[in-house]
Amino acid sequence: MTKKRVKKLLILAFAMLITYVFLSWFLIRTTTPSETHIKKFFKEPKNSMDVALIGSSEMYADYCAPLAYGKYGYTGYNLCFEGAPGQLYPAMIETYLSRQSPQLFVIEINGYLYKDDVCNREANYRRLLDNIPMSPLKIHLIETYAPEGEKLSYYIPLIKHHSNWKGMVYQCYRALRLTASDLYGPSKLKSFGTRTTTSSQSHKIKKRKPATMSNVGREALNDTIELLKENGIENVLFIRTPHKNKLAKETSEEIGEIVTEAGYDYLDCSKLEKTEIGIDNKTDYYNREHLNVFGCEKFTDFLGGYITEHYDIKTEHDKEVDEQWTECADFAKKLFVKLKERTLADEDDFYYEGDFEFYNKIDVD
Amino acid sequence: MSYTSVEFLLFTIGCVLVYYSTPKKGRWGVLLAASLGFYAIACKSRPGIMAFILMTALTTYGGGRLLGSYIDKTDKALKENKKTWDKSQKDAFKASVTKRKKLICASVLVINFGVLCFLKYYNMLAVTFGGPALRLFLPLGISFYTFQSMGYIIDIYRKKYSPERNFLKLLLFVSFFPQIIQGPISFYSNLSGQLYEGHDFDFNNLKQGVLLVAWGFFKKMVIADTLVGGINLVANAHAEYSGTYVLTAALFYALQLYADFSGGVDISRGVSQIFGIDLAENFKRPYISRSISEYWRRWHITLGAWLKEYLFYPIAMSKTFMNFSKWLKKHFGMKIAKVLPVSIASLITFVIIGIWHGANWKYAAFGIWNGGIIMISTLLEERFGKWKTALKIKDTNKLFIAFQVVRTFFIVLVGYYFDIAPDFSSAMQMMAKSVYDFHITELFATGFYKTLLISVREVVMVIAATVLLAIISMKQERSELTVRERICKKGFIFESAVFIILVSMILVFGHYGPGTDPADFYYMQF
Repeated sequence: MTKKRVKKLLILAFAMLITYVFLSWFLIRTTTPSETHIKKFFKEPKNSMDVALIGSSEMYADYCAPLAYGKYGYTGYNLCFEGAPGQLYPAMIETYLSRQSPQLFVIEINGYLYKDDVCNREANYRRLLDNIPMSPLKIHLIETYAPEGEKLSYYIPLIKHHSNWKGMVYQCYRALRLTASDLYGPSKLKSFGTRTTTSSQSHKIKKRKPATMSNVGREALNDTIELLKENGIENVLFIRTPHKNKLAKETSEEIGEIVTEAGYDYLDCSKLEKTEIGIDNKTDYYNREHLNVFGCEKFTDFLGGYITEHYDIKTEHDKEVDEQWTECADFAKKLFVKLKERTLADEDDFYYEGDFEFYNKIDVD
Repeated sequence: MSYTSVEFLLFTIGCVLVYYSTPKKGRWGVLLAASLGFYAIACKSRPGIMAFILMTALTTYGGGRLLGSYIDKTDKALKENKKTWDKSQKDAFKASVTKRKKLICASVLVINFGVLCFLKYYNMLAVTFGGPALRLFLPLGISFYTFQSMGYIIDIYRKKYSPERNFLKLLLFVSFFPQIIQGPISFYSNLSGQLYEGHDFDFNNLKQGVLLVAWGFFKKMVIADTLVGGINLVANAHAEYSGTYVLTAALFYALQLYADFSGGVDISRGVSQIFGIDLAENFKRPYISRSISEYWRRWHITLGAWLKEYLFYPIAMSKTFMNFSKWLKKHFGMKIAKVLPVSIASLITFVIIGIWHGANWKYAAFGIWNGGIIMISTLLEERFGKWKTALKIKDTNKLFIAFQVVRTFFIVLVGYYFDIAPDFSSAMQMMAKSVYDFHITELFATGFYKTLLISVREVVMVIAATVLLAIISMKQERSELTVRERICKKGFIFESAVFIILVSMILVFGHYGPGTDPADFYYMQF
């Protein structure tokens, strides 16, 4: 083969690679909140987080990191996505540790309470793994956590997502949104999402029996602790955020026992929500499992206070980091005023990262 | 390892690299190792299956060598005694030689076709005649390699060429991996030289081969596999669906079968071309045929050619048929004597084609339908000619051509009902339903396509892909050069763009990935 031909083949291979990368980017679709929350984590400056927050949707609905920064001065990104099952918590912790060295891990336990079949849903794995950029970390996570026999489709996610061509209009909208998000830079609310209502009709959750730990959940909790130990993490707070759907007493005790035996802390907020946190069941939830902005503000304040009181969190940051977080905190304060107005008006609309930045769904100024 | 799997692509790339890195003399050895490796991987769940293909290769080789040496010996004896023997001695000698040759040839044919028929048809006959059913399985590609090998033996018998002396080379001819799953069925005279010759690397072959492989993937994954779910659903429970569903499923099947089979053969031919090997064409745009005979000259061409060479001609030229022709001439005149024996031979051939397709009487009906139509057309050809003259219809009239194409497609479609239906009576019921229970409004109802396991968007995509297929096919029909040759003549940017667009279409619109159930190549089961 002549040099010219080799050159041509290389050009063709490059053009194909570009096409593949574009198609993958355009057609991959998990859920919008998970896409933004995970992709935006990688936009944060390295080693800029004091506290790591891990969990499922409760964590990003109930806790607003910039508000906590505004009052207590510590930084912390919510690496959370909806339905995050406990067996993926170790992967999320590893993801956090790949870029940050937090002084404290706060882990919401709801991921351990999903039933086994819910835990093993493919969508859960996709929401995390498909949104992590190709890197040694991604390869490690796929090899460690992706279901056996399906790993190829995590390396080449187009295998799974190519059929999204059927929703071409949405894909175009999503592509614009992702582009804007990328251009915008780090997240303003450090992973946050809420509904503007006190009782959502469009995102209802049924009253359930008290939540218990599934087999997968129990194993996942032990795996999480094992990973934390392996990585020499000393400060870990496992919490149960406020829920209308209660946690079974014996489950709470079992989790508390496992966690404290490992030398970590456990805080079941369901025991404190009315007294110390001040949550009002009628006004502070948007559905049975998530607080609205009123509840979020109260819980953020409570958790921030608890963290600063119980852990010695050093809050010295680079000037640039502090500037960015101050801007975010100011923005969050203004945003919460608007969101509260809409909640009182029972708008019942969903707001998530992006809506506040480039999408201009809500005029903060 | 399916031809449309990533594993197959990687396997092929590996083989190509090793093939061209090996000295020319040994390249056929690379192909043999690849073919045996491919077969072993494809049959890894039942490694014993390898024994069948090895048995075919061994009996074909042994039979060929025996025939060859016997022919050489008797030819020599004949030559030596040419002057000493009188005519009667020579005739007697020739008769005994032919008898012996027939015995050797027939033994090989009986062993191999016997195994094929036993595995394929025993249970059908057991069910029909009340015998015990056995758990039998068909070794991968058995029909294809048996036909190909038996063609070789018959050719040796006919003294067309000398037998292959190297068993491993013959094994390569029997097992060549790009064609083992579903053909095309090659003649030894066309394929062997190409297999054994070490080809030089040719960049054009690489480009064109890769394009053809991609085109095969497109047909199979974008068109065929998208349609297959609905066809199976309706065919297996036709009583639950209206005639509209049944007819739509039959039309889907016509498209799916062509895209599946021709797509698979395109992949086979494309991979072979990368090695510098030109496999025979198996399809020439069959759905634009103006008659059913023409359709069979365009559809599964290599099977047709094989049957013509080794079945139709031997029947039509047999003593029985010659005598029958003479008898007809005496009693009914020249015309009938000329047409009827050929038509009967053709009908027999088609019944065998039908039965070859599967162990079910519905396939015999499929053969009778096709053969019967051809037989009637041949017998009435003169009458049709007179009608055309009377109606002043010219063969070049475009409307008349369109009528012929539609009519032929309709006849083919009727045949397909035998294919998709679970049995003969179901096929008849489905045909009847398609006529009396067809409601055009159903086609526009929400949920019609969903029931056929295909979304409206996928229907639109399949229609667009079919239009593209039709355009490419028409371009090919009107040109001496192949479409890929024409693409490659237009330069690097154009050919690269075509390739990238084609691959992108497969990646995006292809039916693959978790949650999908891609079908095996349809002809693999034969």
